[in-house]
Amino acid sequence: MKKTLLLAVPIATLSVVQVFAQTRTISGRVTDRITGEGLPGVTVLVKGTSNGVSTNSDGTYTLTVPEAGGVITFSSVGFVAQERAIGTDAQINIGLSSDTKALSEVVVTGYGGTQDIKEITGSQSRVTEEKLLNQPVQSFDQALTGRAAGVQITSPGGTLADGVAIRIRGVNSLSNSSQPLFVVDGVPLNTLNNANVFNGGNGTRYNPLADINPNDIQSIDILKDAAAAAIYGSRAANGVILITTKRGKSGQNRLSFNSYVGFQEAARVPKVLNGDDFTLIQNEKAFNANAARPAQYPTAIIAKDIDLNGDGVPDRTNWMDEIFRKGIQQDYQVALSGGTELASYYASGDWTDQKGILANNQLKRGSIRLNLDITPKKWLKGGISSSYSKALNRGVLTDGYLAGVTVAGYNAPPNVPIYNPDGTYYLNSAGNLGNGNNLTQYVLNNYNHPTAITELQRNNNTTQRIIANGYLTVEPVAGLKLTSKFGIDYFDNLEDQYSSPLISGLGRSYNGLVQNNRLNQNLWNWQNYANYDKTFGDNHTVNLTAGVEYQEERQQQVYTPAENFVDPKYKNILDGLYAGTFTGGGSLTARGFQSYYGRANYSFANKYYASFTIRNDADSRFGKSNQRGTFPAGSIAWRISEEGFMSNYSFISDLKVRASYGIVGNSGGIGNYASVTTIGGGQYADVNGLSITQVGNPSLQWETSKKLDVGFDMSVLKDRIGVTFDFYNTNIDGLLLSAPVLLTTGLPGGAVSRNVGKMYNRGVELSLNTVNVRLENGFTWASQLNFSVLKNRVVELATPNDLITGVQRAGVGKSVGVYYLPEWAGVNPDNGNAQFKDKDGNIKQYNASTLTWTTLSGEPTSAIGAADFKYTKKSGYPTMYGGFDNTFSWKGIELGVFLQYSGGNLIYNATRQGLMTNSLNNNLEEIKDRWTTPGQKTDVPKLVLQDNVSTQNSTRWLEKGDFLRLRQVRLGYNLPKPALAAIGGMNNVNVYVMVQNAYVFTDYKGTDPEVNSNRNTTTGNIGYGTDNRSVPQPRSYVFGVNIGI
Amino acid sequence: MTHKSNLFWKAALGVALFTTASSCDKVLDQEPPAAFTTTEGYSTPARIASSALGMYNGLQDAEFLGGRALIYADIRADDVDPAAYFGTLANNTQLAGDGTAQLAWQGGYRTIYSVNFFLQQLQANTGIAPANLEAQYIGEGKYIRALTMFYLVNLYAQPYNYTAGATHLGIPIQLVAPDAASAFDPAQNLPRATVAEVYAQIESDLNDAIANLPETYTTAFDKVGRATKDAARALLSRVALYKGDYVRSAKLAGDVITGGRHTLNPSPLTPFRTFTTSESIFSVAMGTSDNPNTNNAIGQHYGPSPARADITITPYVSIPTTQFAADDKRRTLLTTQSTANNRYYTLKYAAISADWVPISRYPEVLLNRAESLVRTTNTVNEEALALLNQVRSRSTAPYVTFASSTELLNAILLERRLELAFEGHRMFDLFRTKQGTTARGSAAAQPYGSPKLIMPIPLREIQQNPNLVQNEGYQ
Repeated sequence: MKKTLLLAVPIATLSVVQVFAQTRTISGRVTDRITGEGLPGVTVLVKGTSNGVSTNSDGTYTLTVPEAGGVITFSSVGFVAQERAIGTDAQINIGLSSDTKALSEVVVTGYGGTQDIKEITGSQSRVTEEKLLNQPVQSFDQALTGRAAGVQITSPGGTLADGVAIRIRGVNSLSNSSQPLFVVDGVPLNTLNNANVFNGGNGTRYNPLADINPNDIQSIDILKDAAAAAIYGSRAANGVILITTKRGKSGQNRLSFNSYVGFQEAARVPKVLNGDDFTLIQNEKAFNANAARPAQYPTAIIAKDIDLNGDGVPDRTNWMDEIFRKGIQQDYQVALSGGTELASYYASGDWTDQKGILANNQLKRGSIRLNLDITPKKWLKGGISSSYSKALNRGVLTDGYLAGVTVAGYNAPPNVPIYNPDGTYYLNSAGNLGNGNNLTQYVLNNYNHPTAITELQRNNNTTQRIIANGYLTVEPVAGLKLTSKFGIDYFDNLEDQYSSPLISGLGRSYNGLVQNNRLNQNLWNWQNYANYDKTFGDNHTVNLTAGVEYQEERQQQVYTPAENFVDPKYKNILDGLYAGTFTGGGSLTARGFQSYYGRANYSFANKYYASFTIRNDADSRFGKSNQRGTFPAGSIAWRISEEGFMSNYSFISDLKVRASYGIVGNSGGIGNYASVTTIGGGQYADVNGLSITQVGNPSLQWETSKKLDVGFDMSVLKDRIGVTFDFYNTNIDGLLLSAPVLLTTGLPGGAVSRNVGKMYNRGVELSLNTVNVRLENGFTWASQLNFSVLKNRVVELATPNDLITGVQRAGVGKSVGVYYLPEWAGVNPDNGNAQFKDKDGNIKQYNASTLTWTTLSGEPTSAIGAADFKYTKKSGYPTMYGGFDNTFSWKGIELGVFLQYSGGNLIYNATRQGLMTNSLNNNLEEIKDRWTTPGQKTDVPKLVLQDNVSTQNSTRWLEKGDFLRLRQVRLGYNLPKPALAAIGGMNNVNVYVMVQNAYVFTDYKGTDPEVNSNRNTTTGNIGYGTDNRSVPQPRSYVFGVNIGI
Repeated sequence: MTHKSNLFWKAALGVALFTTASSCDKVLDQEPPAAFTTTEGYSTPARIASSALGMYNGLQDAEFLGGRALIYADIRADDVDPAAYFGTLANNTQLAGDGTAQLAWQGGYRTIYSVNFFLQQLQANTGIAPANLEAQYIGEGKYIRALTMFYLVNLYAQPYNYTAGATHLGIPIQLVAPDAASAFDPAQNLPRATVAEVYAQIESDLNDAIANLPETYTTAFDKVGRATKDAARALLSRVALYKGDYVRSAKLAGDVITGGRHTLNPSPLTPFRTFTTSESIFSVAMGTSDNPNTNNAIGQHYGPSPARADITITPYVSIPTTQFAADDKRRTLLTTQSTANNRYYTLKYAAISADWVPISRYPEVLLNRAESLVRTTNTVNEEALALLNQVRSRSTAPYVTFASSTELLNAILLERRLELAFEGHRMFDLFRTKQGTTARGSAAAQPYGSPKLIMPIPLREIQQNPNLVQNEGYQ
């Protein structure tokens, strides 16, 4: 906790009344002993007094000292303090050398706690500002990908500000609440994964974390094991992510300017058929159907070209070119920071404008931040952290909707035009894409016009958010600090949807429809805690924390529709301009939280460490008798390298072994009133009624995670190699889930919240920080490698049956998200029939022409059915993942090469399934491999129109999700000192170019193996790893500059 | 400032910081702002009355009797084109994992839950509401349950006449509303009852409904939008007709007719524009606020643009004019050819999302009795002819006479097709007369009894409930 700076400042109040006799002035400059540069912010103090100053930005100082002489101390964080006798010199210049011990990172542990990372007894990871600054992302969580061991980040695709799935040490819950707890400057954030509610929250989406400007973040600490996270008790089961924003430093007045511009494009788009191939393939489907069953399929030609503009050439459209684009991105930030002994500040303003890879997808965000700390008395400190942001997100509907671009755009026939000759959209009478000369009755579903849906309609949301807290810390006696902190997270989102009367759907039905929904969610949090630091004797250091916390989160929504507009010109809710009668609505919901917590850290002689944490939480969502839970954790560490006997092993500069065990909880993923059976609104036509809206479960309890972690941290060869290793075992009990029931029970929602069972996650994490090459000429190659493997198993289920989401399950003895499917057995080369294996492994083949099933030898047999489903060995979750970050630097030039990898999972490629159908819609190029001649070996069966048996759910659509991604290549250049001086006293100028997501090595046939289409289902963690028309991942090219003055 | 005052301020601030107001503990008392607890919801006669109405809210289920159930009974029959929107169902190519089949199943049982829950709570809180109203509520609940089970059993099981004695599998009979604990009880692994057993339950519920329901209500809305004795009689008359119990069907239809509470409107269009005329015996009422943001309103699917216009009715308008006269008002007033795409649509549902869903109209009762009389007497029954003409004559020229009872019967069945088209009857009417469906567009003809004409029990249910047997063809 104690920093060098604080240690150097004696308790000043004791000498407040001291009066100096005669004085004189000295001056000088403090420099970095290695670089020779002036050091700003160094405390220069007459020893034993409160008489001191901080050095200026160039390292100079002027200090009044007693004539009688004395000793001056020079101290600064990260440097070895020095003392000098004043003597008679009028000038004292001094060079400070960096303190390798002090330079080691100080990590944040929550509730006023910070600790040297070398003293940490739990498992936590840290990502610092340089990995977050100027990243071409919408929210900081995306920038964490691959950065920390045990932390798996899945960006669902290239839709701007889409939610990101974060899984720390695997999936720790079955419900959709496996997101960690986010805490910004000590105050938890609203638990809201998606700000948008239209289309059931699964239409356009906005990740509220995008409201936090990544450029303002100083560091992110990820608490992984119970020892680290248990101070957050019932919300810690999925890990805790502590975000610390930047604050001013005394004496370091700086202005920095950070900016990047660039563009992004889809890294890979599906290869769909062009117009000629489309016609060929569709007609082959029809030909085969017609040959087999002419009565049912009288025509063999279902796809025909059209030449609407009469230019003599059949009309062709590459819809991929229409729905994807190169999007320009830009970001500008100005930040001011600095301060004195009494006060410090950090202020910033940021503007970003990102155009996504999807046409008409755009995010604009402006944000400002002010962080202020004042220390009017040595025993009194106060401050605020505050930020305001406003963002406009022009969303685009993607998967899951006929009007989504990855549905409409992928399915649309390429042999029709985009526009009529008069320039209007080529639409049919229902407001769908015109069908050209193709027959319509074999279309599986109507096509929306892929361009018109985004250009004529609107799916915007505007968020405004204030995240702020204020604190006051009093130190009544040395070492005891009492802090009160009050924070709010006020989130306001206006969702604004317009449906055009030209487009099929509600806009057309109602002559234009505008729907607005205002959602505001306010969280307030009040915490009061005491920290006590004391060193007894020489070797016993204790550090105690105790506190109490209250929190309430309240959400209100107000909904207003307007339809039937006087003229299509009007697309907003404007009085008098619409004649509709739809009524609005609203909702209100809240939850409360109250806790006590304490932590005790003890260390002996920097060798032996012990820590104990306990938290008692009460959560309003549980039944009255089940609201409280207690979460203890303990940990120990032994710093072997400090032992005398280790002096023989001087190549080991630091070695610490540690172990922790604790219990943390999870109450996420259940509704605010899940314990109560509710009788809510049950309106019948326009008459009021009451109806059961939810079956509550009064015996609902916390989900608890018993977490064991054993690991070591080691530095060898003078810190050239740093190793952190962890083994962990998490036993999760009382898994909370909105558990699906048999539909014949009739329960509202088909589910009831309950504790459904037990599972475990076991894994190993390894982080390696190495300086691989360090040459005399200044060239260095440093790398960070992190590696995680894990195993998940469901141990017990309280429900009589597996829990099911789509084709995936949670079943005893299996990993969560295991697939349960009939086994695909390829295509019979003799006749092109699709083949499946029955439960005994015998092949059954399906003849789509005769609609019959036979055995391999041709005997009639029954269809593949429910009894033939089998579990797969692998699930939708990766079992290994990590990152490999390399930095090559030489004379101010820095090349970063960052690789990210993941594997061991299977992806259900429903996109491919949906684009290999035998209906009349566009297909993937893969379909050109279809079976046509006896003896042909292929994996695509003979095409027969409307055959949906060959394409049914099966392991045919399962693919390995292994990948290695060249996630980032960054080439930067720091201007040398003379150049900086030449352009006017700049501190630093860094220019760089960067490619994000440069290349992916994978066998996956979809656009990207980092994918998860099941976002908002109540059982989201079971259905993880399906690719259902996900938007491709973007590739970004960025040019940026960071300037410090 | 002295040392002492420093200490004082430090202490005072320290104490202040740690004296947290105990009132903050109320953050743990969070009551649902938008709901009653079960106890509260049934604590007064007014709330029980509102809860009774809530059963109809359950009946409005968007996936079932909010309209879809009727569509599913027509989309595979011979009056409509196979609509792309209803994909595999319309084409008779559903697989066991079909989403439509699952949602409809879920919707039906959800409706039944709202009834069972109400009946359980009413029993637990008996005596609060007046006895006559309690009886009425029970009757309403049982009517809704019977109606829902009737559609479920006909969509998910072969028709009553598929086996002698209807001993083939029907649907699970759900008569309780499980709570959080009992929902996972193995006892909830309900097996399928036989069709006969399901019909017996439906009849029992409807008999109770007839006994308990009022003859009528005071408001125009209630008279059609809430169940009455006549609503239950009309439905039971149809149930008897499907069973082939023609004596009973004739009797129940006769009860409705002699009750004299219902008359035909002069125009066949009227009941589809004014939902509360006495011609409508029972409809699921709808308001614009019920269904505006969904794809499921019956008017969205059937209505011409600007509705979704999913379902076109070429086969219906193609019925030869010898059978369906060119000037028949049901053709001229209730169908239209779109000028935009030249396709035919019904005009029965024109309110997009606010169309009431017709369950029993008076013409059906008249035709039920007419058919039953012919079938029980095997003669050219005069009353039957009169009933037939009562329905027919407002739309087209009445019949004068018939040479045989068969001809009369066929005329009644044709009239039923013409009059009740798109109201959820046609496929069931084909089945009960042992007919299959004809080929339409991409949908192949299916013979009577074809496994493809009934929906699969949802795969999810089959995989979770060991007692459930899948329908033939979906195993």
